[in-house]
Amino acid sequence: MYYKINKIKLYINFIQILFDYFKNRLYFCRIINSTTMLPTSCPSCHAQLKVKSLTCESCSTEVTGSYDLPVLALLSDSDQQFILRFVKNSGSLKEMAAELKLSYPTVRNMLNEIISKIEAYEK
Amino acid sequence: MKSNEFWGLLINPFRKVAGWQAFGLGLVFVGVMGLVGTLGHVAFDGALDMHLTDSLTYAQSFLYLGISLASVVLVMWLAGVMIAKQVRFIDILGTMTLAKAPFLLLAVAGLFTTAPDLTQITQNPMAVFSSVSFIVLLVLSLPVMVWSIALMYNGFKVSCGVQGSKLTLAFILGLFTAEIVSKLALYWLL
Repeated sequence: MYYKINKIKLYINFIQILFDYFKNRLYFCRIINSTTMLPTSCPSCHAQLKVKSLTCESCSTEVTGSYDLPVLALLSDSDQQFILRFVKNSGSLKEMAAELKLSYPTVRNMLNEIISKIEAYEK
Repeated sequence: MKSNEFWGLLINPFRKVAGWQAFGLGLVFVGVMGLVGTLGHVAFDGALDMHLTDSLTYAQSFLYLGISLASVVLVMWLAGVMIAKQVRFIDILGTMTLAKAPFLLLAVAGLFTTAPDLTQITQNPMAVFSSVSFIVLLVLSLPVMVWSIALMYNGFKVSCGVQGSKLTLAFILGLFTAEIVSKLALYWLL
């Protein structure tokens, strides 16, 4: 009887290990997939992240410190894309509106939202 | 076009269309409203008003529409200037003109409506229910008005770029003021 209970516990542990393995694998896949975008906030407590070290790929020199992320890097991917498009269109909201197929005031409001986000980060 | 996108456009087309484009499109609707309204004896005499009349000329119909629209545009523009930094007059003009579009449904419904006799109604208020087409017009007027107010609100929101209670309060006050201004203007000018 005791032997059987131990065997069941062993099976449960094995299933638990398998479950954890796939859960972790999925988590790391998510992290790897998100490497295209610089993470700006802590995945645990959502506080703003800082740059701790920088590496030179050619000579492997490593610089360590505590550097603030640039304000633009703190913005979301879509906001960064918006700013890039804005610069490429020479700052013309009219051209941006035509490109995005949105109305002029809608695009202006999007820009105003980004401005207020930047102002909040700068504070 | 996805279903959600379609309904979104019906309630808030101003994400895609504003300014001169909205004004041009709105003018087409207002023009057709003026013509059909005259034929159906439907007068749009106020910011959110519609009345059945015994006789209506084309000039009267367009004057009613023009004065009520001008009142809404001017009052909303002033309200916008008070609450927002950057408000373009053309955005308010365009969005408010296009927001009138749902009233075209009432103008069309007016073609098939026979108004009950006023003297009969004063003697017996239940006489209102004798005309089915009139009841249909009354029932239809409620969703049309709600739709138009939703369009005006979204137009005002997009044009001003302001959110929250400040926007809602300015819009409600603006709408009431526009209704009063349009009534006074119609009373003095006509």
